[in-house]
Amino acid sequence: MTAVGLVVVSHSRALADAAIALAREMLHGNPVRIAVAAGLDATTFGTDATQVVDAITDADDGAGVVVLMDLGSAVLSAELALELLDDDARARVVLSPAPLVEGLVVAAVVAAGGAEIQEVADEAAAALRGKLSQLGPPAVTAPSAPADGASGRFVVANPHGLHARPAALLAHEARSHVAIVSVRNLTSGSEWVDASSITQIATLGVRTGDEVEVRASGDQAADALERILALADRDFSDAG
Amino acid sequence: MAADVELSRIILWLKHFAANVADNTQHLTDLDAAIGDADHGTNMARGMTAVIAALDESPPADPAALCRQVGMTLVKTVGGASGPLYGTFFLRMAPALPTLDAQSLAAALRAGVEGVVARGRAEPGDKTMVDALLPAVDALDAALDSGAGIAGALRAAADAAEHGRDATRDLVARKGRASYLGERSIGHVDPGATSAAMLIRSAATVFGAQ
Repeated sequence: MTAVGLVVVSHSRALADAAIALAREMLHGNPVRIAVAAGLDATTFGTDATQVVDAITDADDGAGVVVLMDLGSAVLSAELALELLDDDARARVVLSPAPLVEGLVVAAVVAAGGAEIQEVADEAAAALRGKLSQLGPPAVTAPSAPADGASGRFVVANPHGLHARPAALLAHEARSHVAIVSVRNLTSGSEWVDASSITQIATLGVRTGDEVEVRASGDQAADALERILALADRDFSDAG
Repeated sequence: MAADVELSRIILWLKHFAANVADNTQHLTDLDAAIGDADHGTNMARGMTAVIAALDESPPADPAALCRQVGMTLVKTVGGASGPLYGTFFLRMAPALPTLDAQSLAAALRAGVEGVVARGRAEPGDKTMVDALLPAVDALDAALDSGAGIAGALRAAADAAEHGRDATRDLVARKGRASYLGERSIGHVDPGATSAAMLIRSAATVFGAQ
């Protein structure tokens, strides 16, 4: 039974080679095929979908291939590579959302143990388990949804949604009140975020037509809510 | 007078764009230095140099082969996100360009833009090349529908692309390295939208010439 093959897609050849060397330390000579598609050459950063195609072809011994990527355009190149493969080859490939190093090491060990492709892919995707159990999950500073207080809703009409200047005005308004103000994107089902933070508002990804819920609690909550709803009512423009 | 959509015009378009990129390499890199990883100019210059070299070395026989060759060359040589993005743009143009006329060219450009959107999953307002390309093909189609020839329609498209590029200045980036900067990306024009506007303007210039 042939082992699942692995492909490493990275902007950096050196990074890919080093990550593979690290993974191979765990394999004790066990022959897992790991192919590289990294850098435009040994020293130039970048990715090339045709290199990814070649790497997938090299790594595929019939049992399928799991592809690990670093970030950004490595993913675009891998996705384009899938389109360039023939149907049979494509059906045997899984692009893994795992972090590169952790995913590669886990995938190599599991593949060396003879696992089938779905198990290799599942284990790679869960590769952060080790660090998470050691360090605990990252603390999220979003406020818990206030239990009491006033709430309201509005639909965003701004053509580019709720960011840049509109988000800045909302954050400024929220910050100017004693009350604690939170917002969430009802359309996307987001969590509550602190309305006085422009970067937290940005995480809501509010686009034109999305419905937003706003909640204010504490002192003068009703007043804060009224001012924010009025701001929304004039499409987040400066007061006349 | 409007120029016909000939294979030689398309090649001229690409050469014009390549020259535009070469002349503006530092500008594109500077835009990318402000909000990205400072390589858009270098990447695009490398890619378009390779495109022109490939066109000179093995001239394609038909427009579809031309688009495929351009697309694959960009995929192999650009290195950054613009490789798979512009690569997909030209690869998607290929099957949509069976005949050389204004309607086919417009349909091919539209297919190319839809390819970019599918590849990068950017939406209007994300501060990307899509913010120049989508308005461009919308303006192109509208101009052709109202009876303009290809030259006038491409001019309208180029105007719309440049307008879309300029509008990226006030957007918060939601894709690519710039998205890591959040609100700090405001106040800077997107480099991808800039090169995309150049691409459309080059088309307008070449198809508007005698």
